[in-house]
Amino acid sequence: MKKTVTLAQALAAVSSGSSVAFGGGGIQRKPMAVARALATADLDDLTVVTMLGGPETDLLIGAGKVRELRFAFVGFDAFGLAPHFRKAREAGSISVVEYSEATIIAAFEAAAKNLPFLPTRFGLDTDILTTPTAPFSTVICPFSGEELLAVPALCPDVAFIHANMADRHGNAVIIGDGYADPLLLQAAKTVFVTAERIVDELPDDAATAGGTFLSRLWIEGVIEMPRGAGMTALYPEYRFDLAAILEYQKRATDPEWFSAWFRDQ
Amino acid sequence: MNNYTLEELLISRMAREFRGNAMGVGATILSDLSARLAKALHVPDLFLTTGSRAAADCDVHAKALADEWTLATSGRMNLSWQEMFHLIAHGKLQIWIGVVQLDQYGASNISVIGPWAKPKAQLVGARGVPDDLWGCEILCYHVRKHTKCTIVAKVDFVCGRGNEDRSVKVRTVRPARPGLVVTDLGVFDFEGPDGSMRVVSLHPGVTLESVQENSGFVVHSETEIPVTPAPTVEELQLIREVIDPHGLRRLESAESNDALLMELWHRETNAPGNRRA
Repeated sequence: MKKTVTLAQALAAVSSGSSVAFGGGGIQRKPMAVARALATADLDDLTVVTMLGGPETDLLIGAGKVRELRFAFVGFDAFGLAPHFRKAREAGSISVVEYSEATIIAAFEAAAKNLPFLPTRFGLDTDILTTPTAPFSTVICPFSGEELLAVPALCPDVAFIHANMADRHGNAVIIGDGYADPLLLQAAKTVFVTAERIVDELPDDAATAGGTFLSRLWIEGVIEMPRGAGMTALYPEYRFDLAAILEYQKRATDPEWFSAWFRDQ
Repeated sequence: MNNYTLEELLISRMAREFRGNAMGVGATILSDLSARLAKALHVPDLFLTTGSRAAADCDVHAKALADEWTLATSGRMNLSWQEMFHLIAHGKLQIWIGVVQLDQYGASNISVIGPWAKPKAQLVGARGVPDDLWGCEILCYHVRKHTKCTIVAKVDFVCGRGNEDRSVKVRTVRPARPGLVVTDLGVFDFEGPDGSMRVVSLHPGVTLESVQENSGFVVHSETEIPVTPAPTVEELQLIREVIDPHGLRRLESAESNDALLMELWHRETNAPGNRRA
């Protein structure tokens, strides 16, 4: 079965009010081409889900598309804070649900296993449990009596992951850091993968063997998207564009510059 | 006049805390360099993951801004995030965490300043700190600038728990204790009264008065306070020639700015063999 689709076909799976998840982390392997398309689409009230948000999340917040954000981190890694995320939070204009890395991973893993929740110790006794939107509860272990954190399953409506390569059957491979993507893949209801290139068959080489393999059984469609990670990095194809990242940080909250930036590129 | 910089002193001091046969992670540039220094010098079996999980258990390499490109050639495994947290749950992580607020009893905050519902300043979110708490034996902290805003009486949001409410709930598994803190003024631990912050050593030229003036509470001190030990000749040679020949440690010094960052970036991306992307 051929699974190559167009970006427009993939975006049709998203409607106003959908929860949309992004793979990658910070300024690494972010589906920027998809985020730009969503930023200009006739959609709003999205719930954005990402373990480690970067410019894709910041862009959608700045474009006014986000009602709620579920995250463990949003930032530009070593290169500073995310300007629109910061502005929206300080203005109180978006709703946020704050996880930690391991608790959002547990939420994806519960969804992947088709379970209602998973217990963890991660996150216990910290303030991520005290926020008004905290999704967590506690559960008593029936065997030992130990109190554990119960993390409910998180099943985004649509997930977008950017990969190095995909094949026409819908398999894909990530060569660099996989982040939470192998679990997000199995947690989301519908998954689209953008890839730098689409080939007939994935190569039988060391880079593919050492990478993270994403099976076609989880994937609705693959989209060929050269430079699909935009100004974020895709190992080993391209580094992040540091000059563009620094310029974005300085100018993103200038409405004129920002509007031109995400509409024209 | 010392023949080393403050940054080199901090790298050397932080490196002394790593032990073998576990992951050694530094979440700031200086602490990342300290993990590399520890592996190069006295903990050869330290498992480095800084830079990229896809190049985990790599050799000691010169620090780069786009680390994945230099580490990948020697990484021994592609470590998934799921397995990384399994390793943490089994006590196999030692970490220096860069924090924005650290309090009197060792609670830490990287999420928000002010009330969480509508913060005065939104930082990055809790990230992995609430997780490292449940697996690590101790959490060590690197605070770049020691001020009344960073070393505070009480954090605005608890990402990593401190000693203050340790009596509230006794759990089967004990969370990490707050360990060492390294700032630009000195080295501290939480062995003061009731688990409060205590001076371990002060950096050359730093007085106890300046520590007290720049802290949001009175830091406990003993009568004799040692000076933070200077880096050795061997450590300085390794820092300057092997693990940080490009000088990325300057990005966590007082001279850091965007121009320096871009200069280092151009040098890295224009280096022979690096022009590809």
